[in-house]
Amino acid sequence: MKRLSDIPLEIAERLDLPAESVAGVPKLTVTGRRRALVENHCGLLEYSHECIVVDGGRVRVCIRGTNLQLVAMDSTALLISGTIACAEFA
Amino acid sequence: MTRWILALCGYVRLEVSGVHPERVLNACAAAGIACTASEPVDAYTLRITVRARCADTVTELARRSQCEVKTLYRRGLPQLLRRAARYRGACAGLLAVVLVVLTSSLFIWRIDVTGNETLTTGQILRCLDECGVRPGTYWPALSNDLVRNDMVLRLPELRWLTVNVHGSRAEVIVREKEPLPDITPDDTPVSIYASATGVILSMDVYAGEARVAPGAAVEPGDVLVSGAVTDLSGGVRPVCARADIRARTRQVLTGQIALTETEKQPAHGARTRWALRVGKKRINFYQNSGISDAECDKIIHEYPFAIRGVFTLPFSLVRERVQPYRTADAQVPEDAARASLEQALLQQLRETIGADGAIISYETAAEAAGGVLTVTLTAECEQEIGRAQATPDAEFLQLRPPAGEGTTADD
Repeated sequence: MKRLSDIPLEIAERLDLPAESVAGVPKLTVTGRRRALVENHCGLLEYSHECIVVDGGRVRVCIRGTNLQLVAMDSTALLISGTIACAEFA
Repeated sequence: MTRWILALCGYVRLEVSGVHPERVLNACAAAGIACTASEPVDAYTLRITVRARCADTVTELARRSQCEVKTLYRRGLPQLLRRAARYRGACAGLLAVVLVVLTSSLFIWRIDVTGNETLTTGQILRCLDECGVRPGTYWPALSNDLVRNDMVLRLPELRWLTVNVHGSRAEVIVREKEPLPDITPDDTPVSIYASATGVILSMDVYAGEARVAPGAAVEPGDVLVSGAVTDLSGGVRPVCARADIRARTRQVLTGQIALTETEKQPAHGARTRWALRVGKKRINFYQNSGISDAECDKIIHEYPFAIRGVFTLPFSLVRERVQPYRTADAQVPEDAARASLEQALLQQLRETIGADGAIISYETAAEAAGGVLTVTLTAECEQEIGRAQATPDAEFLQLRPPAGEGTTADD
């Protein structure tokens, strides 16, 4: 059975609308292995050179790698640079 | 781009310490404060960069997040200006120099003329001065078309002209008119005469009557092609003779060169003087007049206040070095003198036989007597030998038929 909070995401998929703007889910864009852009975030949960955990509301995004650095951050997006090994969702 | 904006607005590097320093980042993001170049130092410390005016807000947000904030440094243009305020004099001087350079680049301070062959640079510069193009002219007000039209009217030898301005340097490129060819009317009585002694090799006669044939030996002044032509009715008709006549000639040239030459040797008493040139004015940094001694070299170096291709200022420093010398006779090696004279004679021979002539063989003989070396060059050449000249009346009289001849039976 679907949860009530999943309904906007379902509607966005059915109507072929961009889910990140309708359902408020984070959007992750990775450029090569050096940069990652997380949009629609709700803040940082952890920050170190090896792991950056971003609160995405319904999902947590964990970027792992080496020499990770938060290049810029504002209320809607954050930009991570470094050598990205993987992105995990929890 | 963010880096430039931060540099312009001023930024501050902060070190945030606490149990959860990332909460400060979240608080900044929520408050609309952009944090850049965040760098974790350890699990409880991170460094962030924010705009200078947000530093107090970040400190307050950090306090609410139970973190401490330490300012590491402040950078950017406002900080730079604050520092510069301590050196007002130097900054004002720098600003004045920049203003002078920027202003001076709107005026012409140097004019270079290229492309002139018969007209001298001085003539063109004088004419440009009359047209309003001179050192100190405000070049944005110049009209290239007006200057060109004015210059072409003033100097009829000019065909085209353009003024290109590079910073404060005006480059004037000129093209001169080609001289009109000398066209002689066909009925002008002109004959072709031999210009040197030689043996005719070939003759291509286009107009006139040939008076010699290939293989004939001729001397200077002999008629090769006559401009007086006998027509079918027996009369004499003047024509402008035209022909290509090649001949094998023998040329003898003699030259002399002294085996001693006067050589300059530096003497004591050299001095250096300085002057400043401002536009057309000159300020001398010495009191005595500029009359030089009898035997001295004056070497002038001018150092303009300019960076080539970037800007030119109307100032230049002039360095004059006056070097006295004494003269002494020096012996010239005979071989060197002979080689130099041979080259000069060969050059003279090439000019004599013209561009289409050829030197088949040559030999030289040298003789030194009384401190003078005499070199004789004997050469065998192949050259154009014909020289056009007006046909004298005597030639017509010679060809004119005697009275009674050439008349019809009706007469």
